[in-house]
Amino acid sequence: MTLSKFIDKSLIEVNLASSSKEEAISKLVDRIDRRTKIVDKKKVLDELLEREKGMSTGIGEGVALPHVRTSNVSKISIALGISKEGIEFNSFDGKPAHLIFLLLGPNSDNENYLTMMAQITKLVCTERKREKLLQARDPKEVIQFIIEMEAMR
Amino acid sequence: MKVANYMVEDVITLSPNKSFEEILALFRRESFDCLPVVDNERRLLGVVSRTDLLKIFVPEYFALIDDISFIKDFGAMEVDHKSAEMMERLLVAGDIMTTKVITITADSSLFKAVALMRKYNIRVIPVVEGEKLVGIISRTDLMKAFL
Repeated sequence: MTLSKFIDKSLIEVNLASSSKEEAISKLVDRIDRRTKIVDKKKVLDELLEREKGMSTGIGEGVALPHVRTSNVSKISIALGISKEGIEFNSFDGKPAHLIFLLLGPNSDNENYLTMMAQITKLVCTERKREKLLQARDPKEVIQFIIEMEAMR
Repeated sequence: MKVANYMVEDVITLSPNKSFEEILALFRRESFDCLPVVDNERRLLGVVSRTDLLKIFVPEYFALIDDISFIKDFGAMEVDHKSAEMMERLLVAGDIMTTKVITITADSSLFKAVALMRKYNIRVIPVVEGEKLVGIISRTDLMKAFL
């Protein structure tokens, strides 16, 4: 199971313009909803924001990974937003988030959900990789980079 | 011999928002095999086991390898340290828990608990009334009952 199988060009926004993390999350949920219908979009948004209240998913180094397991999706869904300016995310290190991966997983499937989370963290675990993603001019470049990284594993 | 007579009712539980760090601390401190995850109304949402915690740091392709005796160096299989650190910051009980949980009711026979543990190769079974957790029964409890 690879990340590239779950993310396509329509799920990537390379110029994510948002003034808050709530807005950024909402925009990425919209992208997933347009690609794979979410049963109850508002509920999913509420679940994601509730999760953020408990503990921010801003994991530092300019990366955020809002995520939730929900009964409102039937399969793993991922969207990526790239913000050159950065979005305040109450991150672990206080830095704004530039790479925001949004991950939704069905309640019944924790294995693939955790696998995807691990693959995303591997994709952004070095500065060189994060820079490469930040410099992507279009979704196609992002996909190409993800596929290259997967081939190297 | 009913489950109700041997189950432990005073069970340590996890809320779905319990952080990975706190869960690890609990498992390090105590000898649990698994802990139930419940909501505010004590409805059983899932369980987190030691195996679930370990799985996070083992590459997925490991499960495909039948024979590990030929592997001399496991270094390449170790998850990148930075990535593991990020995972630890991200995860809560609700992310890790298994939701397909084998349960039993308090009025069940102890022999049913034995049969379920053997069939599913598990050491602990949450005891429920409807959706609510009322206790757990473990192999240790069964041994106390039968030996």
